[in-house]
Amino acid sequence: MITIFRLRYEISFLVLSLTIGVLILISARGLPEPTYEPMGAAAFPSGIASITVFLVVLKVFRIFVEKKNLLSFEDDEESQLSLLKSFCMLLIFIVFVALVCLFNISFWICAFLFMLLAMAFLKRPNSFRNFAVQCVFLIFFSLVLDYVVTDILYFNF
Amino acid sequence: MIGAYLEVFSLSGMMWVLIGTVVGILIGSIPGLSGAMVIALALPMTYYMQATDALILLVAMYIGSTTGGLISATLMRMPGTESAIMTTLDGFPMAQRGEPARALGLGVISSFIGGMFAWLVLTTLSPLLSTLAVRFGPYEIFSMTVVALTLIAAISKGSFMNGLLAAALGALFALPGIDPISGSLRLTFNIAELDNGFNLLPVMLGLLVLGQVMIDSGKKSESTIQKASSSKKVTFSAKDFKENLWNFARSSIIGTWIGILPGIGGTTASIASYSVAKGFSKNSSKFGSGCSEGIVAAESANNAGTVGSLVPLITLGIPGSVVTAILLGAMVMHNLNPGPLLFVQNPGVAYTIIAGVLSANIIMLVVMWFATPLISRMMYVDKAWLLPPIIIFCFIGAYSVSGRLFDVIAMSGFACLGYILVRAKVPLGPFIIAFILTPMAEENLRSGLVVYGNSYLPLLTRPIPLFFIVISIITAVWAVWSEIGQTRKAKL
Repeated sequence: MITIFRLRYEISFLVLSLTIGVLILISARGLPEPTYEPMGAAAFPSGIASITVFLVVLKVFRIFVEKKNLLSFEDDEESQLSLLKSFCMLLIFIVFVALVCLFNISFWICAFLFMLLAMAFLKRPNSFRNFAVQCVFLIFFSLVLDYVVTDILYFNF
Repeated sequence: MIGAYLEVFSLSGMMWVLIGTVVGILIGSIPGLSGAMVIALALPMTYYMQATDALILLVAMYIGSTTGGLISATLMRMPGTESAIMTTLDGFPMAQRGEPARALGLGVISSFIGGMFAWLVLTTLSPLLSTLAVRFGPYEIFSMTVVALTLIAAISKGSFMNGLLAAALGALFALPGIDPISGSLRLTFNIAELDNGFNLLPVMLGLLVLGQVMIDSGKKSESTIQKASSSKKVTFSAKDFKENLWNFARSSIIGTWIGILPGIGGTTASIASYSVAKGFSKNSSKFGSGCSEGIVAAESANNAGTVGSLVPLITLGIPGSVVTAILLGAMVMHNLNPGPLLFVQNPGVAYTIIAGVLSANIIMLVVMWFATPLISRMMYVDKAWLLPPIIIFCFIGAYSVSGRLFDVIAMSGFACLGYILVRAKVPLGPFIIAFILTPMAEENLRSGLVVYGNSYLPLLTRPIPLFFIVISIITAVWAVWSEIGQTRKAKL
């Protein structure tokens, strides 16, 4: 059985492939004609994009026509929770990047807060003592990272 | 050649090998963290290293991570790396019945023998293949990339169509930027940051590392891990060696051969070798219940396959797996010219990789023999402690490419793409390899058209391109045929 949840990812993948394929096809049309070589800059991208679109159509046909009887539409709560958790983690990362790059907050503070929050999100600390140890370790680790990015790699956020 | 060996076996060379092997073994032994992940994470660090040191480090990590997988496969029934899946079948039952030291010993020695055999093949075959490869013209190189992509798409996990779509998508992402022949800008959608195309590092970090971290973040933490009795040492007896002599040789040959073929890799090598060993064994009924032959077959083959996959990489510039694609990326980053000309223009680099394999195998044996009890304690570390620092390293790695926020945004986008691909059971290998090989394929096809007066005919009249194209067609037909067969079975 193919559940609707699994299909959700396949559809996302197909929509993405189709969008990029069509975008490249349209964009390649605007490229200049070749002058001193037979193929030109547009031919290869157009070829690959056409193959992509063709494969997407074929795949859609296979999913919705050939395997129609194999589809079931029950929802999987556990998988939904997994998706939510994964994207929460990405969101925490995006906030960290925004704080570092857009708000110019010191790297070690952002790194410390990010790691503390992310670790708590993945596994809640089971005692105050563990939490305190975790904080001390993370402050030290963040300071080391801060030294690396500012004094060795010379990052200019 | 001797210079390369002297460099690798110098103090600094051995230091990089030791660091790479230990880190590789450690990461390989932790289920969920792959060799590809650690090598992609290490790539930005190698910016600041000499090319040869960087390659030694990465090759050592590759070999270490392949071997490290056997520790958790044996003691936890969870393969640390995908290629250790077959080791789980016999390693864990043997450890569970009170022989963890023997199970680990068999795995370590088998890995070493498999790796050494493949190194011998790499040493002898690579210079020979490279003398043939330097005669390749543009159509030969183009057809070679086509065959590599077809094989990878056909043999990767999931359906052939998914593999092809992943490859096509990877190729599309490689196209924006400067046109390789005319030098004009194309497909940049007026985004100035796309003028040089997508950088390799954010793409790899996003797809292989951040995407995987997102998946792991969504998983429930393992509260009930099966553990076999832990071992304080690794042992190996002469009796086991004598009993498995032929098995060592056969599995190493199978592993090396499968490793050389693009796209197949260590996992298939160990599965094939395990099946062959079971077929030839007098004790085939004991396979799966802690049989020494099973461990030997799986471990010899996966390490031989790992080293074997370096043959097409250094002679033809064709990556056969995700990890070798990262190694190819490392060569490009260090302005080396991977491909048929590597042995001509940078023989030192080619021989350094070969020497690195030898030293990494030796160090791997020593580290695994003496440090396995310690590593086996570290592999139970909670993911909650590992994933956030890995994300920070991803950020530093992506930002270090050129100090642009755009690369971090691109990495996040590719992480989402990687998440969707993995969830949709679309293999990542074809995407990454197509992303790397597409510029080479396009440049050579267009050069070929200029050289042969706007004619595609030499693709069918010259022997090497014809050979590669026939292989591609056979592979594609076989893949489609077997998929139709599977669909029919599913319907029944």
